[in-house]
Amino acid sequence: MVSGFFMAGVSAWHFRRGTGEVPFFRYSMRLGLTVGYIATFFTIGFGDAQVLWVVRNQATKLPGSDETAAVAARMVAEHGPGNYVAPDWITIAVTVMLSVAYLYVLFALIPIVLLGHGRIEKRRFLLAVGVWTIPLPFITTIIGWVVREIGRQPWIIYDVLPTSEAVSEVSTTNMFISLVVFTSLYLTLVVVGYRLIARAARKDPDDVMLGRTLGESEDHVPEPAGER
Amino acid sequence: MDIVWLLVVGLLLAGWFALDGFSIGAGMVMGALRDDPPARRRVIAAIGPFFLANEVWLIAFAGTLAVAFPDTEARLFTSLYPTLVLLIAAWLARDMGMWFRSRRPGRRWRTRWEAVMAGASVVFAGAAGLFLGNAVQGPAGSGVWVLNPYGLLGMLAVVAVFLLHGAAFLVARTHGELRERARHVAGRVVLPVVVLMVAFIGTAPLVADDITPIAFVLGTVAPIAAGVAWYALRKGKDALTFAATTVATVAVPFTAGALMAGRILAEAAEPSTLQRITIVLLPALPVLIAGQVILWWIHRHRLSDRSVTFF
Repeated sequence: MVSGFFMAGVSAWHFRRGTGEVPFFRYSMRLGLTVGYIATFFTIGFGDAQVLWVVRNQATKLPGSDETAAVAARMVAEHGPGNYVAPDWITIAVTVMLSVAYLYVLFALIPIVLLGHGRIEKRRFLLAVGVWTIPLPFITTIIGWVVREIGRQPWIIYDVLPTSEAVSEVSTTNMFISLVVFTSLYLTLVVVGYRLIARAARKDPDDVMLGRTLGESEDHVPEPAGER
Repeated sequence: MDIVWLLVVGLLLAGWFALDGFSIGAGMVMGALRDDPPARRRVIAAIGPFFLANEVWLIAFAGTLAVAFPDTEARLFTSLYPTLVLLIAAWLARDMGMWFRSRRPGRRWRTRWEAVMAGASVVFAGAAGLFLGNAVQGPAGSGVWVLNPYGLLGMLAVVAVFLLHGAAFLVARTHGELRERARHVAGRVVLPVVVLMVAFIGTAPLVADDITPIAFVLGTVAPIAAGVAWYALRKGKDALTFAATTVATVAVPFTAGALMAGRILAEAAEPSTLQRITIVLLPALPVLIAGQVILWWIHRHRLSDRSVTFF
């Protein structure tokens, strides 16, 4: 879903900028939208199945139901006092996550229909929506990860082993240094990676990135289309 | 069953030494090609097809160690935590160099990431050696204690043997000037490797608590294999050189493993756990090895202008 709509969004960017290559980007947009649209149903299916399972089996991860309070009370009785319930905003996050998927089911139909009947490369507003919603599936994925990780706490094994009892004996200083090291490395990765991907997305389709041979020169690269 | 799993864990670590060892070593060789950008590109192309299939062995090793010998993993990964952080940070930096180097045109961009890759390769190998040299010894101290003589010896030994192994790989997989330069690097490092390998097993009785005959026999393999590499290098037998450096590289983790085998076996997981992972994981091993064989068969030729650069 993420890659499909990413591909469609990049194609929309090329239409808006009028970089030429209309048949190529029509094809990539069709491929992106089709794969993204079909994948959305799988995403919803797997997502709903997991939410259902969590509600039934690990109620403290999704606060709000009657079950939540009962399970939390039992955990206090069995494992000692503590806050076993995920914060309330998790429910909002889950709702946002699910809504995004349903929004795609509804609204992605518009460009799909227009690809068949009509010149989608001229619909500037729709193309803008396509470009500006590129981050949406990414953000949704990140929200999903946050929901998952927050839900995991305070357990390392749910209802068996609390995180506080599974911590290694590493000093705070060492932990802090490693956190700084890895965070700065990952920030570098994010910044460089983002700029490289944006650059690649702006390129002409005939400028291949991977799979050059040693015989070809490394510097024979046309400028990115957006900078012309 | 625990001995089988000790061998599997050893095999996975040895796989990483043999495979990523030459990627890391080739990365170091790149640092010696400062005046020759096309040669550096050839180094990247030489390791390109193998690169990803090489580094995964370390992940497989760490995961399997954690499942089969959880107490060993907890003990080593906790006491040697800073070394491990250094290793993973260098690993990340090395991979960033490999991935980013060709993603933009321009010589300055490439040179910068090549420098990152060469530097991180040295640190990566050094951290792995430091880890091994310390793991062999009994209970670890804390802080700068890791920089004890045997830890430092392990560090030097692994850096040197990876450099030799990487150079030997380039000798076997390239031709022309780059092959000559790699031969030159290998020629300069091969005798120090023999000395370091002798020292690694020779001084082990001073630090390790149980020296079994197996450990001693395994310990002599590395210096002998490095000696064979020296001979093959002089005779211009490229395949034999690489085979010999592979044996020398593999012998290092097996020696270290044998030096601490007693302690690790005492820390094995419950028999029921071992039985379960035997059913799930052991059948995967032949598939992994078959994958490597196919990969090597496809890319068995020396580099030419028609070779794809991959990264």
